[in-house]
Amino acid sequence: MFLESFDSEIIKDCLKGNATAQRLLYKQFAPKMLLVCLRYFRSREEAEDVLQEGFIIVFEKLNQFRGDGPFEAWVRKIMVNKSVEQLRKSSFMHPTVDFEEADYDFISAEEILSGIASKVLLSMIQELPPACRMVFNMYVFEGMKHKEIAEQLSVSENTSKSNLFDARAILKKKIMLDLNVLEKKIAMNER
Amino acid sequence: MKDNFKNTELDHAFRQAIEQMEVQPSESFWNKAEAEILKKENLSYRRKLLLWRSISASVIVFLLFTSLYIFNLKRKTPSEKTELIAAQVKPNETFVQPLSSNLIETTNQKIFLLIISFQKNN
Repeated sequence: MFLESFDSEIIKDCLKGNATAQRLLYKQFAPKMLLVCLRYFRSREEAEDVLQEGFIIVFEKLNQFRGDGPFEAWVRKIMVNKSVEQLRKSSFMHPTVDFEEADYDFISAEEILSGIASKVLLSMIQELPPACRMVFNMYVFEGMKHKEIAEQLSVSENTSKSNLFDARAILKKKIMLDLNVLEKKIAMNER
Repeated sequence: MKDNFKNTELDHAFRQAIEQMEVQPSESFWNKAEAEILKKENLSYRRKLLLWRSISASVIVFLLFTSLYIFNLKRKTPSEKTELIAAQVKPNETFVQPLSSNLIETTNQKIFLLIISFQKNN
């Protein structure tokens, strides 16, 4: 409640052209939104450029925010759209990666991932091929359905499903590889 | 591939691990952001300045026309003024009723008689 009223105060002041309020808006949302952009881009520079462009759109369209939902979700939507738009310019929406199936132990994903740092997980997403990265992000983090993803990316639903399948497979493989490296390091330390 | 590593679990685990993260932007990002804010501020000042300029220009034009009108009104000749005033006065309007000539004559006679009687008495 406090946060919402705080947001609405900032928005009102930003609409009046108050520079201090604009700085506050940047400070409040830049770290969260940079993470959103980093999920879509491999390099930090690219992600920061898109973040900057996203903020320009946020300020331009601020008067269109009706307050139907949380302001953060509205900003996030702008960042996601900008990231997808930018990424689409430089990538093709076809599954491009071959992968070998890996053997996994009978342990839950949460258990496995709890042993891997969030930064490593983020870099795993960043290393996905662009098409897989976009679909994985939109499906998992933005909660979009294949139909919506297909519409936004102008591809078929099957392509979206196939990209998601590939993304998951690549991630699973990377996780297991990472765990193997970790296990080897622990074994070396124990010796 | 063993199915124990379920897709939904994987998605959930990634969501949980990453959504809590925050990444601080670099120094260069903040510099660009500051430049953007200053650019907007300058634009807003320029707009305000433009608004005030147009307001003051309108006021100056209004004052100029008003003073010209007043000046022209004062410059008009007396005959023109009378004409103007005459044109403003309605033809039916009469301020003083003229006295009848009979009434003037009788009044004059009365005064004359009064003066004579006063002289006789003295």
